[in-house]
Amino acid sequence: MAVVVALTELLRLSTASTLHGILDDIKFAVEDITRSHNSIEVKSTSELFTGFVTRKCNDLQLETEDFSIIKGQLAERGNQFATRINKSGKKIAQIAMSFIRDDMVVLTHGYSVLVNSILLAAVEQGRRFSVLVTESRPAFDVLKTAEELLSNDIPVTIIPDTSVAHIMSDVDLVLIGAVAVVENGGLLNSIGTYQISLIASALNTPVYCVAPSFKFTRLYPLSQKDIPEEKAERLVLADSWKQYGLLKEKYPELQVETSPLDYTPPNYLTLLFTDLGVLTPSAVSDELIKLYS
Amino acid sequence: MSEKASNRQSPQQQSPQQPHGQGQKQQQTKRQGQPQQPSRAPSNARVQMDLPHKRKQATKKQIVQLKVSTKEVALFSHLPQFEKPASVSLMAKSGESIHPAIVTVGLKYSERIITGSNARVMAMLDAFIAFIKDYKTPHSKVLALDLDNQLKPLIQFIEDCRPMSIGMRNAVKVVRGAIGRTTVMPEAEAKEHVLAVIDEYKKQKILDADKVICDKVIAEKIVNGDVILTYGSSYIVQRILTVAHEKGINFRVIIVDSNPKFEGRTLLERLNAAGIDCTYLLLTGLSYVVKDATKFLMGAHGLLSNGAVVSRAGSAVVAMMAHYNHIPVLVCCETHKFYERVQLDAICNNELEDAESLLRDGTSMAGWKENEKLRVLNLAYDLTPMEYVSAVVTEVGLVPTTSIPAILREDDFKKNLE
Repeated sequence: MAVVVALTELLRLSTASTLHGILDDIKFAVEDITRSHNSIEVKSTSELFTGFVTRKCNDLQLETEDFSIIKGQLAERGNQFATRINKSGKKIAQIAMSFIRDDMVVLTHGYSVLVNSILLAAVEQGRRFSVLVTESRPAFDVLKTAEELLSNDIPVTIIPDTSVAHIMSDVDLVLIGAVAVVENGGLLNSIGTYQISLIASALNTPVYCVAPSFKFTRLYPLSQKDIPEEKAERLVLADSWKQYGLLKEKYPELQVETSPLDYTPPNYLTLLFTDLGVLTPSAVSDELIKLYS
Repeated sequence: MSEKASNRQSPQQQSPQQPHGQGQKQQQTKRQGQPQQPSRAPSNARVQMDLPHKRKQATKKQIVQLKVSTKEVALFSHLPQFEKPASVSLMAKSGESIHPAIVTVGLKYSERIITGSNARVMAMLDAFIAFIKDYKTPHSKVLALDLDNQLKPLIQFIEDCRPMSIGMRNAVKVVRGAIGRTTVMPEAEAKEHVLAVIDEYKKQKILDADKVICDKVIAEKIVNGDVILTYGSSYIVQRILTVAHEKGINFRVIIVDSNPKFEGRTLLERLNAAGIDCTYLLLTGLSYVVKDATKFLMGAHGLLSNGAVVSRAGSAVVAMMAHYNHIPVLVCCETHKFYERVQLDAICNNELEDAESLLRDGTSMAGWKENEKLRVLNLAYDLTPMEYVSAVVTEVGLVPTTSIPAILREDDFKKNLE
C-alpha cells in the first residue's frame, strides 16, 4: 500500500516531460525501493501500478501540448489504483464471509490482515464459530493473530505447527492469506502453508486463500527451490530459536536454517477469494493474461 | 458415436460460384469492405475412413493416387492408412495442374525430407508465396474467390502427400482469411496484402516467437547444475540448449530416443557439435536415468484446448515418468500451434506412418506382408494429458495448461484478421 502512495506522489511531483520519462522515473523509484526492501509484494504491486496507470494510453489526450495535464491524469489514475486497493479489503470480506457458517472450525496460519477481516465480518453477521491458530514458527505470528481475534470474542485455540495433521479431521476449512499468487494459481506464503495445504488436501478439507488482485505476480515456480530469495536472511532466529545460539557456538558446523516462504502448488488450493470475485486457481492465469495482453 | 461425429463434420462442398456480369457487380457492392467467409476447407482432420460412404468421398477428393494399405489395423481403421507413395506415382489426376513449388514441397513432405512442425509450416508458406507471386487473375473473375478456389486443390495435394500438421492447418486458415479480405482491392494490392500477411505471420508467430521463448526459458528456468531431459529432436529445444550453452550456463543433457526414426540422433549430433555434455539412451532405459534429471524440456506438434499436448510418439511416456518423479515438465510451444479442438486420447486423431520402417531390420520378418495374422502399427503422435505438464512456455509468457483457451481468445493475429 505504501508503495502505491509513494508512486502516486512521484507521478505528481515528477519533472519528466514525456511519457517515457515518467515510466523511467517509476522504474528507478521501484529499483530504489526493492534495493532496500526486496520483496515480491513490492515488485508485483509496482508492476501492476505501472500497467494500470499507463494502460489505455490512447485514452489520454496525448495531443495536448501541456504535459502537466497528462501528468495530472496519470496521478489521478494512481489515486484510483490506491482507492481500489483500499476497497478491495472490504469487498473480499463481503464475498468470503458467507463461506463461514455456524459451528465451523476454521484453521488459519500466520498473520493476515485480510483473513482477520473476513473472520471479523462473519462475527458481525452473527455467526458463531471457533478458530484454530498455528504457532507459525519461526516467525511466531500467532500472538498478533490470537490477540486480534480474541478481542472480538472469537474463541481461539493455539496449536503447535507439528500437530496440524493430528487435528485436521476436526477442521472444516482452512483460511490463509498470501504474500503473492503466482501465474499458475499457486501460492507463496509464510513457511508452513504448503504442509497445511498438503494435509488438508489429503483429508479433503477445503483450503481457501485470500488475495487481492495486486498480489498476482508473473512468477512461475516449478519447485520449492524456484522461489526468488528474499533479502531477509535465510537464517531466522526468532526468540525461541535463540537457544540454538549456544549450540552453534559450541559446534560451529551446525546448520540452522529456514526459508521465510514456501510455494503451494495450485492443485492443493480449492478457491481464491479476490476482489475480482471468487476464483479457481486456474482462473488466475486467465486474469493475468487479460491484464498483460 | 462415430456416426454422430461424422454427421457434424461432413465436409461441405459448396463454393459459391459467382455468376458473371450483373450478379457479380451486385455481389461486390453488397460486400463492400466486408471480409468474405472462405468456403469450408477440406476437413480431412475428421475423415471417418471406416464408414464406406465417407471413404468414397475422401478418395474422390484426392488428387494424388494413393494405394490403400492392405494391412489395416482394426482399431485405427477410421484413420487414412495408405501405402507410402513412390515419387513417380505423385502424378496428379488429369485436369489438375499443381504449381511446381507445391509439388516440390509435397514430395519433400512425403519422403520425410522436411520434418518438424515449424519446418513444415515455413516450407508450406514459402510454397504459397511462390504460388501467389505467379498467380494472375483470369479475365472476369474476382481474385478473392478465384485464388481461394485455386488454393483448394493445392491444399488437398499437400494433405495427400502427408496429413497436415496442426501448425499448417492454422496457417492455412490465416492465408485463406487474408485472401477473403481482398474483395475490394485491385489485383496488385490484393496480392501484396496476402503476401504481407504471410510474411508477418512467419515473422511474428514463428521466427520472433522462437526467439522470445528461447530467451524466456534460458533467463528464468535453466540454471547451473541442471540436468535436462529431452525426447527426440525438437528445433526449439535444440535452440534453447545451444544458446544457453553459449551464455555459459553449466548443464548437461539426457537425450531419450526411440525406434524407428531415431530423431534423437540428430539432436545428439548438433548438441555435441556445440560442445554440450550429452547422455544418449533409448526409451526402454528411461527409468534408470530419469531420477537424475532436474527438468524435462519438450517440444510439441500442437496444444489442444483441453490442455493436452500432441507430440512425437513416446513423449507422453517420458512426461509421465518425469511427473511421477516430481520433475517439472516444460512444453515449449509457439501460439501458432494452439488448436481449438479437444482430444482425450491419441486414437481418434493421429497419423499412421509407414509400417515397413518398424520391421526394417529383422530378416526373419521378411514375409510379414503375407502373414494374415500379423498387423503392424506405426503411430506418429501421442497425447500428453494436462496433469503431467507443469508449464507451457509460449511467446506470451509461461502459462499453465488450463490457460490455453484464454490465449486462443486473446490471439492478436486472428483479431486483426476479423
